[in-house]
Amino acid sequence: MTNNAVTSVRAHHTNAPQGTAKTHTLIISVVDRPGAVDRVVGVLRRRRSMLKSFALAPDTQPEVFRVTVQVQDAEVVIDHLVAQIRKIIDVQEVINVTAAQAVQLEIVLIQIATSTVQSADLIAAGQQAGATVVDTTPVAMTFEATGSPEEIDQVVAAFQSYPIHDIVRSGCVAMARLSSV
Amino acid sequence: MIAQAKRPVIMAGHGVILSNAYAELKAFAEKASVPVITTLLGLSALSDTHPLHIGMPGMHGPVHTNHAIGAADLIIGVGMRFDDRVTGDVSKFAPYAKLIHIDIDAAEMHKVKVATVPIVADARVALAALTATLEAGDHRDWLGEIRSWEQASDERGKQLQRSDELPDPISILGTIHKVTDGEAIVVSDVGQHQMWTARFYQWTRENSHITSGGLGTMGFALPAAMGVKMGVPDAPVWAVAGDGGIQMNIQELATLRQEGIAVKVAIMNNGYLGMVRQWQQFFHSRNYSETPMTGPDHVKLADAYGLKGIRVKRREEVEPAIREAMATEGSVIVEFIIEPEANVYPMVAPGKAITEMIEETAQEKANDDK
Repeated sequence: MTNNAVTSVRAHHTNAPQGTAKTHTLIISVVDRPGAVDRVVGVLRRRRSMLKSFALAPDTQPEVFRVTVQVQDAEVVIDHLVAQIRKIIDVQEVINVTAAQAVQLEIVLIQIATSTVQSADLIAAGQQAGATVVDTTPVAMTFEATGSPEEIDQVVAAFQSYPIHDIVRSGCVAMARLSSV
Repeated sequence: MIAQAKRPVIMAGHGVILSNAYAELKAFAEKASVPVITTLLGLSALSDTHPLHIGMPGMHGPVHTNHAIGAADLIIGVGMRFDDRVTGDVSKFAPYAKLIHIDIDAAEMHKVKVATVPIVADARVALAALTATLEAGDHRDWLGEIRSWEQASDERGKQLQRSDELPDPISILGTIHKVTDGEAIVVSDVGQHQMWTARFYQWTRENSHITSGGLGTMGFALPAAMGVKMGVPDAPVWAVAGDGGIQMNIQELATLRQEGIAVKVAIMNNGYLGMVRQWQQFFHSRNYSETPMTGPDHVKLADAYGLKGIRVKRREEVEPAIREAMATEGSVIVEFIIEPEANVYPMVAPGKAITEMIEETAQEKANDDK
């Protein structure tokens, strides 16, 4: 399921032009019934989708979950994937948004061991990278940053010279831009 | 596109039957003057006797039907999904054809064949809309060409029997059609008899062919026929099965008896898991592994379940037996002892193009007889 997964022949790939894979963001609304999200994941798994991220949280509608998933593949393969996910009864809607049509954000938490670094330097470096301190302990400091996946990559890179204890990324969430009412 | 096509064919699938689009398919085909191929699950969507009907495609489709697909410049696929038994080698399937693909499932579009015009719609609505906007066409020359291939290949003559005395599948199925005036609903199991049924029963009644299709479930015929009979009590219902498949749900004979459901069961007994045996003959030098089977005495078995059983060993007994089965109240099991090594011809070997068919030749027959 990761980018490094060894993939042999995958469904519909005979129709996909080589080298046209790019990251697509799918916003999937799924009714919160037992097994419903499992079915969505099952389709992604069975079709051996190249998952980049997967985020799940309650929707504004009651009893509905919103799944935001980033998949790397060719357009034609994604179209089939969307058509297959739409066939799941509990799925209300699937939208494929590109970065241009949507606001896409991700959160990262970065924990730095502070035993060998000056806290003031660390905080300054964090501020420069756009990260704020959300937690401190006698031995570690945790930063948080929000941004596009590319911005998050930059934040992570900015901390590389420090003793990183752990990094966690939330996975991307996206919202289609309302450009006309 | 339809108006410009020189060699168009319609491929009608189960979707036509499910959306009750018999009249719309007929009207569309007649107005556009386009030959109609019905897939395994699309059989009986258009009567076999209709002048535009040219058969079933794929692995066991007749020669002229597969050649028509091979030569076609336009395929209008309606409610069908280009299953691997239909396409054979996909890269060699309909190499000259553009594709108008009408299906209600968006996931079928471009799945196997990239559609020139994908239409995600109910078959009935789509066909009615197309018919309304279409100008009347004329493809009689093309149809004539297909018919000339049909005559040249003389399909029916190719199903050779080594014995003239044993009941043969073609006359069994033809007789069921004749005795029931084509009103029967025929439910087939999985195997050689399924292909014979698809090919040699004449599908004249709408939605009269029930089979498990891509699921390929042996044992399907008997319980499914029971359901058909309960759903359509006025129609004569025939379950056609092989001696292998019937064993897989044989206990349902008790249900037939218990619930008083009248299903006529035709068992084509060749003493083999026949379709597997045919593959072993063609592709594994007749190394018949695990396919021969003795099976039970089906007449005694019928008796044990409290049903009437008839065994037919000679061709001239076929019609009297089927008439007797129809005249008998309740369920009847008719066992036909057919030729052990009868094959389904033509056949497209797996992975081959559907235009590369194996037909029984005199040479092959001579080898067989050695």
